[in-house]
Amino acid sequence: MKLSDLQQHFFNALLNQENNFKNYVVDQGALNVEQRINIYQNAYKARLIESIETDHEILGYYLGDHLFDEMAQGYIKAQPSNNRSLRHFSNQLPEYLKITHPFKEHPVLSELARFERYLLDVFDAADAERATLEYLKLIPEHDWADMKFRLHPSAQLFTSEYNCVECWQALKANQPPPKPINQLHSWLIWRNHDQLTEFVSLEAMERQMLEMMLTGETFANICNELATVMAEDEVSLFSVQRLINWLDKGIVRSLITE
Amino acid sequence: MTLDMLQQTNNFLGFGLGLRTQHFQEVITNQPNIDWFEILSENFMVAGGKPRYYLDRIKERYPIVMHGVSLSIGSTDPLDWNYLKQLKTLINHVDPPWFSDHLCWTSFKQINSHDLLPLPYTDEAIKHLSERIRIVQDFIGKPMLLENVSSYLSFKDSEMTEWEFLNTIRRESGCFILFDVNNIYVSSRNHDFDPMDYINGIDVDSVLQIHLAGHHDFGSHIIDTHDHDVCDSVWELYERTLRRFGPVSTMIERDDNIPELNELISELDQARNIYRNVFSNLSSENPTTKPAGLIE
Repeated sequence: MKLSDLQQHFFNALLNQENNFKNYVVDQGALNVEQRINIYQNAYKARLIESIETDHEILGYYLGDHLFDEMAQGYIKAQPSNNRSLRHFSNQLPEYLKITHPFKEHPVLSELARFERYLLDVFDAADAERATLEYLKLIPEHDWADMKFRLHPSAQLFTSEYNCVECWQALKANQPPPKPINQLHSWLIWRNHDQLTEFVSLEAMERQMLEMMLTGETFANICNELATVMAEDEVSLFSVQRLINWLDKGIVRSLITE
Repeated sequence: MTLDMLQQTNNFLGFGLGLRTQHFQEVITNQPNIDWFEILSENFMVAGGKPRYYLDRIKERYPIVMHGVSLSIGSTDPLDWNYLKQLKTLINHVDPPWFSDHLCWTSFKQINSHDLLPLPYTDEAIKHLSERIRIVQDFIGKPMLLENVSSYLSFKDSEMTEWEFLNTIRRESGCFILFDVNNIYVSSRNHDFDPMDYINGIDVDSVLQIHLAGHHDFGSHIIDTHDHDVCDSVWELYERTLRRFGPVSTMIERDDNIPELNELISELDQARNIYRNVFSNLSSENPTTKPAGLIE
């Protein structure tokens, strides 16, 4: 038999899609052929389930063993791994939870999974230098209006329609999660100077500022936008305070003045 | 030849461990008595963050070799150039003396099993693998080692033993062998062959690295779990492996139920003691074997 045909039969058996594979396996020793194939079938599932458990620990607590197992088995069947690294196996889990019964009836689950994916992305995002307050001080006042920003590669904005982060925090602290509530909320997630992942709740104006920084708007344009929703004499204090705070947290990669 | 002279032999790194996240900080802080580390390549093929941060600090102090699990050299899928480019980028960054992966296949039609699946030992497979290994070695530009895997089934199609298969691929492709003594023991129990036939069936100049590990023995069969200490039978085979292949860089793999670093170092000391016992008795004129030479 051609190598490619044998591999096709093996893979079909691994995914429980055929029974013919046993005809190509040597019957020997204390284990029969089915038991030998089972070792590979079990290992395949166990490895993928372990990967979901590792990456979505808090989602697992939220669901409990029975529902977690239903989700994991269903996801493995629906979404065979197409990435060489298990780190990315659960990339589609938030979408799976969003469209699959019974999980789709509880939108907080998909959001919780999405939040955990963000934490993973932040954990191994690219490294980069970070701008500091001292660097900001060196920029002449007349250059501030045209100043643009690059955020650290790990900085992510996360918006939730439910209180999924509060649920995550409660479960992480071994507390029962609050009831899911429909509430729009924004978060900033990043990796700090000590390589630890942090997240913080954002006010609407803070989110607006960060979104404009990400799209390359100048400091003047950002301030003009803020002035449409807050008193003009508050804009300078608000924007500079936030900028200093984000520089301190290591969220800003560079200040661009040319 | 004295023990010191043997240790200075080309390619002999000494006694290493698999670098695991649990031990990152301790390795940096205490700089323990470990000669080198092996990293799992895929764990560090990320843009940045903690793994890369620690890797960069540890590689300043220790030699590092790279060990992959998803090259899928035996698959009939086309080679994954995206993966190979990422691997080469990491290799250029780490600058290991060699890199390794497994004599197996892991993916088919772009779906990954995340397992080290066995191959049929056929001429077709030899030709297929040898060609692909040559391409990968040429692209990466570093010596490549292939590791024998533990297996739980064998194919009616096989035309030769695993060691004949591995040895032929090694000769035809120009790669080297990462000799996993535990895997030989596991497979010998699962497929009822004499592990010494395997050890004696491999060319003496082909082995550049040895893996030692623990497993789970179910009586009727053994599963390669890397979650136990190295067992006595594997230590005995290790001694016989050294006697055949000479001084070969040796390391212990532990992937689950990972103990404190000190415990692993104690286990590594057992390998060092066996090594000393084997080579302190060698005559000063000629060792019976010579270590493998690297591609220039």
